[in-house]
Order: sequence, then C-alpha cells, then structure tokens
Amino acid sequence: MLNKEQITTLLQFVASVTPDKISCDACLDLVPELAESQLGNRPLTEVLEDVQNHIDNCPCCAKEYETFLEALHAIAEE
Amino acid sequence: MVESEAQTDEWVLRLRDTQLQGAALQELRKVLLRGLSRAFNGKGGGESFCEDVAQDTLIRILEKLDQFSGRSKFTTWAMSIAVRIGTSQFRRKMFKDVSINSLGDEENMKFEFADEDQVSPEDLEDRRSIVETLRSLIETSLTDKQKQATQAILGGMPVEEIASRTDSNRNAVYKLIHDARMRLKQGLESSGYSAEDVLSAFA
Ligand SMILES: [Zn+2]
Repeated sequence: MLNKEQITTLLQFVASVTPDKISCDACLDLVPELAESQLGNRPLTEVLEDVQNHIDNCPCCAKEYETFLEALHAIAEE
Repeated sequence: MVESEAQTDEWVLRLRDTQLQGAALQELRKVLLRGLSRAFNGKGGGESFCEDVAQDTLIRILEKLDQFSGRSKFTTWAMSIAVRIGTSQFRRKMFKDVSINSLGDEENMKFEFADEDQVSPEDLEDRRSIVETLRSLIETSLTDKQKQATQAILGGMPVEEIASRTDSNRNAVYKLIHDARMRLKQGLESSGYSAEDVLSAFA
C-alpha cells in the first residue's frame, strides 16, 4: 500500500525526469572536474553540463557527489 | 591546502618512483583519511571503515595511475576514487539484508487516500485521476524489470544494490529506471497531465 507521501515521491520522481546523455560510470569519472569547476566558480563545459544533468536525474550519483564535496571541503581546510 | 599544477605532477612522479612511493602513499593516505572521515563518520562509517577504504583506494590508485588525465588536481581525483569505493562499500553494508519487491505487486499498487488534508473536492478528483492514470500506465507500459527496479529505488535502494540482486550493472539499472520514468512522464503528458500539473496537484 502506498500512502500519499509515497505516491507524491513516485510522481515527483516521474515528473522531474529529463533526457540524460550519460551513464553513472561516465558521470563518476568526471566528478573531479565538475567539482573543481563549481568550487572555482568557472562556467561548465558542455560535457560538464551533461554530468550535472545526470546528477539532477540520478539520486544515487547525486548523493555520492554530495559526499564527495564534503570530503573535498575537509581536505581543502588543511 | 590548494594544490598547484606542479604539486599534481609531483604526486604522480613520486607514486611512480619506487624510491619515493612509500612516503607518497603515507602522505596520500592521510589526505584520504581526512576526507573520508568527514564524509562517512556522520553517516555511521567509523574509523576502521575509513581506514579500510583508504587502503583499498591506495591500491586502486596505483593500478589506475596511468588513467589520471591531469584535468583535475591529483588529490581531487584520488578523493573521488576513495568516495566511490567508500560509498559502494557503505551501501553494500547498509542494504545487505534488504530484499526487493516490485511496484507491480498488487499490494504495492494500492493507493491510500484516507486522511486527506484540506483539499477541495475538485483537487481531490484531480489527484485520484492522476493516480489512476499513473497506475494504468505502470501496468501497461512498464516491463516487470522496470517495475521492480523503480519500486526498489523509491524504497531508497541504490542502483548498484538493485544491480547486484538482478544480475545487472549500475549503468544498465540506471537506464532501465530512467527509461521507465520517461515513459510514465510521456504517458501522463499524452493523457493531458504536464509535469507542472502533476507537481502542483500534489504540492
Ligand atoms: Zn548515476
């Protein structure tokens, strides 16, 4: 039985999807470049735009990217 | 600590040099541990978890050193490998005893509308109609594998864990779910419900 919250999650998951050109592996290979561009406030190249778009579509890569940024902040502090 | 280009080159040179490799690995291990502790300690990955991940990462980095493109700083690249290994081990640990069931299972396809909050009869009718459309789209346009994978990811199971339970891989499972979402979204649109309609009806 799905309750209202679960139905809403499912509908949001469906309604928010956009076309995605790349795979999880391709995304994870390029996150170092994405992170440095974003942390350095540099404009994203077309490929990095695709990586960001994948992250917006993929909850697993999104969580992993968030974890990666936390780790990068920790090593930048030294 | 902002790493310069020269420092990036130096990491690679030292790790390739048998004389200098030991000290470089020690140093890199400390950097990785700092990042891993911040990233995983709060989530329940303790010190020994981070130590193991750092160790596995150093091995992987030596194997993959030739693939380092230099398009990012060396420590950023190394940290990305550590987080990838850590995340995957952490997810395996978290989901080890969780099995998956399917969105197509009859029990899972029942929608509960009891205790509706302050919603007008028209809005409630909209909701019912969207959900009914979605239910029939799931039934008619998704494969069994898509129903199963979509249910699992909604339950919080990561794609690589779904992959390991269905003899697949992360890329293939992601694509399966992404195709299912696109199909449902297009189906809703063909039935007259745009993404905005759907989101606002359930806001
Ligand atoms: Zn992904």
